[in-house]
Amino acid sequence: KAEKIIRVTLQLPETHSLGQNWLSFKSIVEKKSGGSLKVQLFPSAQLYKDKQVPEAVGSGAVEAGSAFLGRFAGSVPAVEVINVPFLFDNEAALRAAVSTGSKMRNILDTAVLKETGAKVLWWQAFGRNVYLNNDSPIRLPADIKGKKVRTYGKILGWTIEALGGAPTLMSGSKQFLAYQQKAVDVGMTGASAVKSRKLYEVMNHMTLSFDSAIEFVAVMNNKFFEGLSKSNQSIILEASKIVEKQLRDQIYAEESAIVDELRSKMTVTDLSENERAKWRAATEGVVDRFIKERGKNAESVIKAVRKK
Amino acid sequence: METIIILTALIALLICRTPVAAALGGLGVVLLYLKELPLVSVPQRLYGTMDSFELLAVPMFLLMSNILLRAGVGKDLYSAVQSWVGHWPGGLSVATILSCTIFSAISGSSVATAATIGTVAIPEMTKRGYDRTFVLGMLAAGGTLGILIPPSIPLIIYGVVTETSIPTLFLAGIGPGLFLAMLFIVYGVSYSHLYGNQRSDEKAAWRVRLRETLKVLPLLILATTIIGSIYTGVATPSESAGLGFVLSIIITVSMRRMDWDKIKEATYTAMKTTVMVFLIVAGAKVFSYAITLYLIPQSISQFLTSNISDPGLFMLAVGSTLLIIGFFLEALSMLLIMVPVLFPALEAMSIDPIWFGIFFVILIETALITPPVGLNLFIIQAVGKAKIEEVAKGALPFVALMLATAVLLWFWKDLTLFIPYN
Amino acid sequence: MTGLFLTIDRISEFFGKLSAWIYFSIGFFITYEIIVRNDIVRQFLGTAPTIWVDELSRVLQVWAAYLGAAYVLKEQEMVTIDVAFKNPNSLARRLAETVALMFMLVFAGVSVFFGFQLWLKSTLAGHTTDSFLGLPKWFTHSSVWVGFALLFFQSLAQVCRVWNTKKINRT
Ligand code: NA
Ligand code: NA
Repeated sequence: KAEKIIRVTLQLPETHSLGQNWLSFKSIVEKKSGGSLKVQLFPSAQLYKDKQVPEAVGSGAVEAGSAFLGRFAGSVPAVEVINVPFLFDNEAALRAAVSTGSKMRNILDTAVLKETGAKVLWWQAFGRNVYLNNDSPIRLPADIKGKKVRTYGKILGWTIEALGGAPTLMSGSKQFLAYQQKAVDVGMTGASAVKSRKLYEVMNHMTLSFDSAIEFVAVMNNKFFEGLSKSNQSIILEASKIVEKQLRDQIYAEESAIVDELRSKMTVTDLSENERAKWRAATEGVVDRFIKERGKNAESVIKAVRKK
Repeated sequence: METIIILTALIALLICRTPVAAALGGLGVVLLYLKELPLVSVPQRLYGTMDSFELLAVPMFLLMSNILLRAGVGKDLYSAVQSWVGHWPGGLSVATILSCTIFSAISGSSVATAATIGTVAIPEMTKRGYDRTFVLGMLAAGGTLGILIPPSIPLIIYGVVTETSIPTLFLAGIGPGLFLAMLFIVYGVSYSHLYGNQRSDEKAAWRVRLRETLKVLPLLILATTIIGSIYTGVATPSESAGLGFVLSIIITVSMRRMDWDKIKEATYTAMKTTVMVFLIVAGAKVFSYAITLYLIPQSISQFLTSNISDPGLFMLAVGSTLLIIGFFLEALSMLLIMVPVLFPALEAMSIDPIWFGIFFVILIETALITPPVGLNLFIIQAVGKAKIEEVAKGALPFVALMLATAVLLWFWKDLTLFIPYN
Repeated sequence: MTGLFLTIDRISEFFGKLSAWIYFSIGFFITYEIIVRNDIVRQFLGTAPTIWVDELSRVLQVWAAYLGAAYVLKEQEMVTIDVAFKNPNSLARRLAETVALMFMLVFAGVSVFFGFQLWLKSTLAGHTTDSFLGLPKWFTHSSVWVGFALLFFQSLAQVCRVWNTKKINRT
């Protein structure tokens, strides 16, 4: 049987959780297929930068890869639903919505396939959003009013606008300096970045809003997938399901370990149910704006999340 | 085996005078085709390569250098430095290297530095009886400081390719850059003392010194703005380069040194150099994509790390390879071809990527002044109306100094790493 | 024939110079952005930090880089390694240069052919970049195939020049 090579492009290094996630996919697939499928991982953006992955995989330039979900927004604007604030009530709701086979996933994955030619294999958890601040903790929507806030996406900017703040789009690497020099008042980032980028040295309060998620997607060129034998196809889909859950469990466990560790370095604030309700009310306009501006799938995606 | 065939093909193409960009890009395409890898990746690579804000520093620094060159700023700078040190024995060698050093703090390119200072310094020095071969060599070598002392175009490209911090790389270049400048001065003064029969200047009056120094004040402000804005975090390297370019126009226009024709010339020249550089970068990206899919960098670094366990020996092997490659390859191509191959091995050898960037740039400097292919040799040959052999002969002692510095860098890592990490 | 080459030359030169002025203007965008961002003239302009500058200058940079390629080839300013075949009139030199230009044609041809296909697909689908400005891909991604098409035709002209015996004193 001829051996098929699956080349995988990844922005992050092999040692990163996402790299490990692909390696565990590799070991399952290679073992179950009896060597008829071979996975080659090209980490650290050796082949493509993150923003090129949708096109590279979609066009078949490379067989598979991981990209930040937001990278698909140019072709499927509705994927940014993941950034709509406080749409997912809690961790359980988030897990249900993002797992393979959910209503939301079906709508988005189908649209991504249709628009780009990339088949979504699984979603890769990366972390959840937190707010950073100096002087006093952020508890209520009013704490954002009049503040200059670092964001990392368009919808997150809408959130800040809805709360009466001024959003500034800024890459992750520029955060430390921006906080240190007080170029912005409030930070928005993933919890793990607070540790890895040592942001606790320049911000002393962290609010675990966990209001939106940061997700990557593992995609495969659809033509390539269709060209595989039925048994190999199901091996890939099975493996995807396994490593999807693996990574999500691992990431959320790591996140809580990091938060515990950070408690000694900064003040960590949780939001009560009551407080979350206030945030949800204050950002309701973002949902409307999302439905209005994000095209045909936006409304059905929101409905899919809200219908339980 | 595959590796050797590919390397031979590349060398053959380059010897056939294939433009480096086309040799890399075309060979990359052929390699992809032979393994039935999708060619649609080629335009994707090409777009992705140029879609980089960091790379913008290249045209911006080139625009600025070209504006300054045409405004005759080199002459001002040289006269000012000369008024301070010209009366020393061998003083003009000091003036030349100091001028190169100061200009290096503005310019990111060794060619621009060699051309700007060379135009003024070569006639001044030979007029006073300095040995011609020595003068030509000194200018060729002094010009290379332009890429070690920040800002530096090769360091920008190294940073883009390896995703290391460009400001950190810049900081790391300061120590070795000043050290090398000092070595050049020591050599220059000793040589003039031992073998020269040159005349020294009259000691300039304080009034003259003041007048000459005031003339270069705008230039010093420009250098301070560029470097200062990067390190205070006010601007990224690309932004400060853009700012420097606009400031250089404002300064030279207000000094009445700039007119529309000169601006036009500067703009066209900067564009040609930029596109020439960028096409090589683009070709190299296609080539490195192909060899990555052939697993060549991975197997070379695996070979190196499994056969050489001592990092010192590893660096010796790398350094010798780069020295030899540097005879033939143009500086930037050397960077773009070799870095993707060597970089994976660095982590295994626990070699600091910032340190390695500086080490690499010193070997690029060497390559710039070793025959047969050395861009600075060509520039000085043209500026000084000399034979290439003459320039190369004069540059030889400087090559030795650079190699010594590269070795020293290994044993004294703080020369590089102290400034960025403290 | 000669008329055709001259037309190709002129087109390349036009776009080369356009490319030069694109870089020139990017310098001014960037400077404007630094000034605005650092609140230097905030009180006069009252604008928000200008994220568009970063993106716009990148898009323009891609355009300028590839639009200028043909002109740089025409001006023979591409970096070549000058160690062999030094006599410009020898047969060996002409053969070498032909091989060289063939590789240029392969490189450019592949970039045009596949670049155009890719461009057509995202243009028909109406895709945009995923970035802040969300620029249409028909504009951003045509830079590659347009620039390389110019380079392709200029390379053809150069091949014919190599073998044009009348013009022996090529520089
Ligand atoms: Na420099
Ligand atoms: Na050389």
